[in-house]
Amino acid sequence: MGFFLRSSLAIVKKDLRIQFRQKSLLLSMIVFALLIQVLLHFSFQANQAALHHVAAGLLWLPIFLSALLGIGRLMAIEEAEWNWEGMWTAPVDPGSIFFGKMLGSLLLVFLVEWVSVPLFFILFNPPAPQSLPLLIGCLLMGTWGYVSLACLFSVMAQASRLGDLLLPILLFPVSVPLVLAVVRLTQIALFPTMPGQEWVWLAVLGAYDILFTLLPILLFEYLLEV
Amino acid sequence: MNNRLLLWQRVLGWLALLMVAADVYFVFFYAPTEKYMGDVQRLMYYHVATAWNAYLAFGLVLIFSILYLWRREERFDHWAASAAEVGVLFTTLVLITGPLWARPVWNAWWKWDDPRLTATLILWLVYIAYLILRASIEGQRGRRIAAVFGIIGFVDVPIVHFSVQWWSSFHPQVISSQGVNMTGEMVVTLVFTSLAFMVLFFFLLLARVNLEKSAAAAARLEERLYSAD
Amino acid sequence: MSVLVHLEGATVKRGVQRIIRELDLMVHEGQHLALIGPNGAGKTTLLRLMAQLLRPDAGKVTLFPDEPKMQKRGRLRSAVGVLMEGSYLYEGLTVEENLQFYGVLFDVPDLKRRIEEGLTRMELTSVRHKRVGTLSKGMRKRLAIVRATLHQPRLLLLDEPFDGLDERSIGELQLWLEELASKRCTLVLISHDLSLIQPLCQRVCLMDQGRIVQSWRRDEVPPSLWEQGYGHWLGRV
Repeated sequence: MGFFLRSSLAIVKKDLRIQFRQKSLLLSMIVFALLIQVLLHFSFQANQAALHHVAAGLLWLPIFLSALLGIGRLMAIEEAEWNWEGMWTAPVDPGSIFFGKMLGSLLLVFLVEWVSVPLFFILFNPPAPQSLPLLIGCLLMGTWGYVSLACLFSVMAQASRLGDLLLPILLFPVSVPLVLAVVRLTQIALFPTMPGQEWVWLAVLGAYDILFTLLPILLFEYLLEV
Repeated sequence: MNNRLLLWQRVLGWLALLMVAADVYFVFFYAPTEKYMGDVQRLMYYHVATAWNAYLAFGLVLIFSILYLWRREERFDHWAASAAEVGVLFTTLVLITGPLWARPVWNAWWKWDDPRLTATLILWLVYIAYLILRASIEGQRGRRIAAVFGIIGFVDVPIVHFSVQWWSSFHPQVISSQGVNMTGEMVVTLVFTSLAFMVLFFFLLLARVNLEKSAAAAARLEERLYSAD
Repeated sequence: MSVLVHLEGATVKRGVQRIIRELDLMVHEGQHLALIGPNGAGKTTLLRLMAQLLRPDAGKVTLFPDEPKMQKRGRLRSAVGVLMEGSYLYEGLTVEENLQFYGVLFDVPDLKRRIEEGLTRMELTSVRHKRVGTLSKGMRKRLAIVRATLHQPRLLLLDEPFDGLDERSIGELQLWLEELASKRCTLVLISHDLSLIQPLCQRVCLMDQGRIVQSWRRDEVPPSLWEQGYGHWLGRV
């Protein structure tokens, strides 16, 4: 267990180091999120009345799309110089390689959220969240599950002829339950008119996160094998 | 072994033809007309029968994906791929019969509030993704990766169902057997139709598997020819 | 003498072509092996099979068959070192950071000292804080070698280790490999320059078209092989 976590953390450290030196990927992800927010504003003409319905989407779509593109690039650094193979030759559990890449990606997406979420409040002027803990919990858990599957599917997509295009095709259908959960929870956090519902959705998110973190960890070696 | 499968394929083929033909009698003559929806309700039999068999198909994809990763025998992969294809075919039928049934009843082709239909759409998309994945990576690696996705996809199915159910729990407008007053004859018809389609399903599955096996055998022959220099 | 690698009837196909054909080979501990042969003979593929970076389409490849404890993936990988086409280096990290990273992944004890030793022997101390992306090809090669040997493997598989190195580095590397060889490390090398690997190997295998066509023990190696190359022996497939 110790070795598992140590290796994962070494991978996280490595990825963050590389990304903070280059900065270009992180900045691009943030800019992209902002651009989506602007685009959505024009697409939905979200005035205050409509906000009730589209707020969750306005908050989450930039995150989903920015993570999609960013994670594709993050997984791709390993393709150069055959680094997946390099890690495969190490005695580490392949699951810990996945977990490390996943945690690193998660931290970067959180950084994007640090910018995009406040921007959401500034640009669209929703009411202050009635339940801030709920909103934060929803952001944490929702991002976790989404990023985990995105990392797994990104590795699959990169092995294919279609490349990054395959990632959303694989990810979106499977992530529907997560999307439903975070949208409902965001709505409840911002406009609490549906009391009591949140526990079901938090349970769905929790189960989803656990299941779709454990399964990839167990199955990752089959993807790494040459 | 190949011959045994071909034999089964033929047997099931004839049986399927007979049962589906007989089923027409059941669906259109034996079953009574439903009180509120009228004759269009007869679509329900096909709708539900294909739906159950689609789930059977995807369950098989899960089982054969696990078997393939465990044993690495190519034949398990053939079964998984074939089950997915037939499953997508059946799911497409569900998605076609659903709106056809819904239109006269609800005056709309599609209702997002119908959890079953929505869940089926998502299911369809998951396995279409599986097929696209298979088609875009070749060789052993492709088979392994597809098997991983096959496992993840099926584990997702119950979660999709539950979450879509909860999502529409405020005003569910269900186009399903739940909205129908089922008489005895209807139950019999439903069971028979499901069985008929199950036989049809296995026939199609075997036909597909045999096709895969032939293709693999042809590839092996080609290899032997090539390397005989 | 324990067997480190055992290949039985190993076949590797790419599409319809067979790159390795029903190959049988045993590598014994302490018997350093050189793989030579023309381009396309399958040497790199054979090495990848030995490294278990590739599964054979037919036949078996077993590492450490006499040692049941080694069948666990973790143990096995700790005992094998690999230097292949990909350098397994991160361009965005410095020389030292790359080694530290792999040191953790390989669970290398006494990591600091081993990194120091490796950097010194391969003359990389002056660039230890430079990013790999800025290094020359030769320096990257030297770094890759340090990375491959950091965990002191029992089996070291090297694909063209001297490629791209200058004379001085070649000398250093030969000394380093000799030292490793004397310390319970078995080498399997591919090199197109026979003279470089001559002092290191107890056994030489000539490959052609996916098969081993000739195998010599060190004392049996005909002198003309080193001087004139292996062309003479190839006609015999």
